[in-house]
Amino acid sequence: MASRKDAVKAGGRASRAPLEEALAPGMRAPLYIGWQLTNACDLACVHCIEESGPGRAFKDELTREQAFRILEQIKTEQVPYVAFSGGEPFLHPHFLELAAFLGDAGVSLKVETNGRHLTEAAASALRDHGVRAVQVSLDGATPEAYRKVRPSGDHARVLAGIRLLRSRGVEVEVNFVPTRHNVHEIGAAVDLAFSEGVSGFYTGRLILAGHAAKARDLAPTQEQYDAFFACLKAKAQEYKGRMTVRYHELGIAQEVRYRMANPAALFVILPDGRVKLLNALPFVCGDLREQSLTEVWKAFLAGWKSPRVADFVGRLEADPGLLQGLHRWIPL
Amino acid sequence: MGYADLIRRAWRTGRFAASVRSSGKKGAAGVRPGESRGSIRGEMEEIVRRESADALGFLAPRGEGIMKLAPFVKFREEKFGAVLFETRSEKVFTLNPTAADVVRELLAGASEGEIGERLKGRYSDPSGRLADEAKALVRQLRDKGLIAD
Repeated sequence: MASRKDAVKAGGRASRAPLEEALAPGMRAPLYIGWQLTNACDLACVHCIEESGPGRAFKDELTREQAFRILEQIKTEQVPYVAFSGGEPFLHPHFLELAAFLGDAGVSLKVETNGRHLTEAAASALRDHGVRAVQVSLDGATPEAYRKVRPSGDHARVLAGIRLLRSRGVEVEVNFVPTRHNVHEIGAAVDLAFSEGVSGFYTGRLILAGHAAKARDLAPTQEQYDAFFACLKAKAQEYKGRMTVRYHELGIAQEVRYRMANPAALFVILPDGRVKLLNALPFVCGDLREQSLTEVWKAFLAGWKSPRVADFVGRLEADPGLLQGLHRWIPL
Repeated sequence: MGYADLIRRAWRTGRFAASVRSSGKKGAAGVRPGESRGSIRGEMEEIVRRESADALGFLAPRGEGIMKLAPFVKFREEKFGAVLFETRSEKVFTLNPTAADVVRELLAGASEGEIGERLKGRYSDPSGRLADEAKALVRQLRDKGLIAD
């Protein structure tokens, strides 16, 4: 394209293409923040990589004031997109207040929930705060399969919550984690999501970390995975243009290797304010209690180039057991 | 100049700078002494984004189509130009300074045909291809689902 007059004087056109699908190294802040508000959850799912559960909140989770200091920086640096997760975000004492702040600031917010707290009041509040989407974990088409992965979960209650959200015009997405207990229900689960007015269905491979690493025979067999992905491929075609069906076939080792070569503009805030490179990696690149968002962002970009990260990722394919130490964080 | 008039003028002309007279006093237009052209422009762009539905209603009688960012697409200024972020696919698109200007003009309500004309005042265009290149970029943005009519 034609260049600015001053650029012409300096010797020609702008060097970069007008539009590139790529992360620019000079970006001032992340574009997407995944924020685990608390590690507490009222379910104890067999596949949870965060090892969340009842009474599992960190002792030093961010205070309201600390959380708001981060929110102010998100607003100032114009981070366009935040996802609140956990644990279970509804169990955070200031969850709706934090969501309201982001709504007022014009930041798109996604809420990732187990779906147990979607009351009428909650659904209305999420709508009023302009939440872009609520991603509900629904790992089963039937209560039986669902309860095998979420032992005290209530399938009907989650569906009722989804309906309340939809009745208020809130966009709903579904997340499905495959295990041997529910993998056979994938087709019916996609159909169920569509029938409930869900806009996106997201799934991939089970990550053997956290609780999932401790459970026996939880991962689907290769044969089951083959059938699972074949079904998803067909469902993606079937619902094309009506509901997004997105799935990651790559294993976590390949996924992380890809991320190392192509870091996303996303970082993950832990409940205590520390920041991780990626959910599925143990590396911590900063602490938002002590550093600014932009400082941590720079550390994040540098962190992906760290030889320690490269070494870990290089060993991961041969030794997936490395992820069992996901919660023994390694500062960079 | 009132708030609504300021918006309408901005959409009509693509110029966001307050007049010397209006920028020197506090008032309903929200223009404060010392505000830079850039800050006023940023504020106006935000208003245009937020109230694009009103913009459509305003422009429709004049027969002009306007484009806007597709749902779930976010625009952020950067030192190197700008970025577009598609929040559903999480795809990041980097814009060089010229492309960033094209998107700003789109957000300000310029039609595809008007963009080249508006940019001519700001860019050297010895090859005379500026307007065509701007149109090509708009097509690219549309093909990638980043803007919508």
